[in-house]
Amino acid sequence: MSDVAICGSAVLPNAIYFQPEEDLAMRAIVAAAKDAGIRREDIRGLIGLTPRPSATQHYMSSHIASRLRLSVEYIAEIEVAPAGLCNAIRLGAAVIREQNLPAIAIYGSARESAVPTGDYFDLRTSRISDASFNGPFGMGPIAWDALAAQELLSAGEATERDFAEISVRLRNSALQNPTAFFKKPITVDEVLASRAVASPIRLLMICPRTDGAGAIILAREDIAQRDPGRAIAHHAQAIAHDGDNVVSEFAGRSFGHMPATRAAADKAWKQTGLGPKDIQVVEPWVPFSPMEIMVMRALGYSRDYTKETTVSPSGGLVSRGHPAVPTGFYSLHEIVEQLRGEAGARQVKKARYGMTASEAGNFNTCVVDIFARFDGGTTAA
Amino acid sequence: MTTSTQPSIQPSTQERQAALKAEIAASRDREALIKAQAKTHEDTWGKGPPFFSSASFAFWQEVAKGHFHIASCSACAHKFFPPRVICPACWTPDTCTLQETAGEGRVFSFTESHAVPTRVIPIAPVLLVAVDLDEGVRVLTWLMDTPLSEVKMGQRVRIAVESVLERPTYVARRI
Repeated sequence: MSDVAICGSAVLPNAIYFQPEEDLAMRAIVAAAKDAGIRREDIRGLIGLTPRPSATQHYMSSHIASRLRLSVEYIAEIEVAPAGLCNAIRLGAAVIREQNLPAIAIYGSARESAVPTGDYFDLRTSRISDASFNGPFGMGPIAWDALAAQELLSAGEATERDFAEISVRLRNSALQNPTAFFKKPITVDEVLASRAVASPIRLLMICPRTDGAGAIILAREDIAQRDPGRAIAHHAQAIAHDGDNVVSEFAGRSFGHMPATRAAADKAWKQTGLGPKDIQVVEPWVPFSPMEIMVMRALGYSRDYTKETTVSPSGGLVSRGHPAVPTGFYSLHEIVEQLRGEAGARQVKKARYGMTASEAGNFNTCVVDIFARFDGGTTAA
Repeated sequence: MTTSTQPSIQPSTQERQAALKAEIAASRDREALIKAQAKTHEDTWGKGPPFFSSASFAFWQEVAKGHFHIASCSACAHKFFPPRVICPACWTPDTCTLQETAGEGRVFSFTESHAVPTRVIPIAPVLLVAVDLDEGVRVLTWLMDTPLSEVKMGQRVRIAVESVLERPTYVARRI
């Protein structure tokens, strides 16, 4: 049981949208409120993830509060990286407790399609690790995951076929998810024949940059008790940063072993008394297929992790889509649907605990969040 | 509740005020010097990248002259890369000094990347390598004139400044 729970959740389909970020966000907030069955008057706080500089509307939370006529007692915006949604949930829960608020809304939206790919490389990904020493050489998320993937290949810990099989599995999952971007199946041969982008990573191992929006309603215990089978408790959160950069200060440091993820996971297991096999469904932040192997290893799973838990039934970033600011909402939404037993053809049996693993850098920061059914039960067999 | 008998290590109000006054004066002098450096950096490199920072100013001036260095701390002798305003080991500010290096080390990992900034498209794909120098620091750069099929993990390389896309750039070559 918990004194605060997620009572509503909504995401818009991953797509290319022409409407601005604030409109996408407001649609998601209203849909999440409807999902929670909550009145506007009970939403007394609003936390937004700061939109990208390319968004037309700035000071977005204040704008949205006015447009949705939300009179709130708490309002804030949080930078999306590192792991903005995770921080927003923790902050929101603290605010509900401190001020005894019935509920708050948390939202995020993005139109990645508004930023051409060239600008995306020049102005965003080139400036993430070190804007002068790494970015100008082409060091961005694809490249650093490629360096890590090459490490796996050279150590004999994985093959290119393994990477391709992850893409195929994620695509098959996405076909069952109505909010996923990709709608057609792919084969291992097609993945391995797709264009090389940063060896050994190929096009069909990479997430599409999509547009989207998501929102959740975080509510007080008495609201959650109205429908305890649909409320989701935030069971635990553990955060770690490894004190290093994507390109390490130290010679010999692995790109693929993610010490912050290990530290956060270990902390989460200690906090909860749970272990990897107690989690029925995991939605890790994996924008490139090879990264899944590294993240699952760092979370404490074996190399055959798909036999131990269900990984990214939503299709993950690679097949579901990656609208960078609200992506965390899509991962969380899948956990919410799974723990409620509302995931349809994707439903995992006897789901009780779900986990997300979020990151910044090359998992230099990692946030592990564990969610549980509010009623302490499990979904049907 | 127990009372500590140890003397306080915190400065007194008078000491704090004196330190603040000294820091304001030092900051004014430092900023005047850094403003001049920023102007020189822009004259050399334009608006960037590389972007100006006081810590890496001397490094990029040396690159412009054809020389590659790593950094070391004049207070604790810790070696690091890239240059930083505060030593990551001992946290002393403004102790970053350039240290000569043979630039030799090994390829830790590599990727042939087509996903590059716009300026680099004419030479794409690039062979991006993480090089672990013998001094124990890591440098991210390009391995030149090497087909993907010939690069090996652990490959010995040497880093030196060359002209790439009409600009001095530190790059690696096999040795």
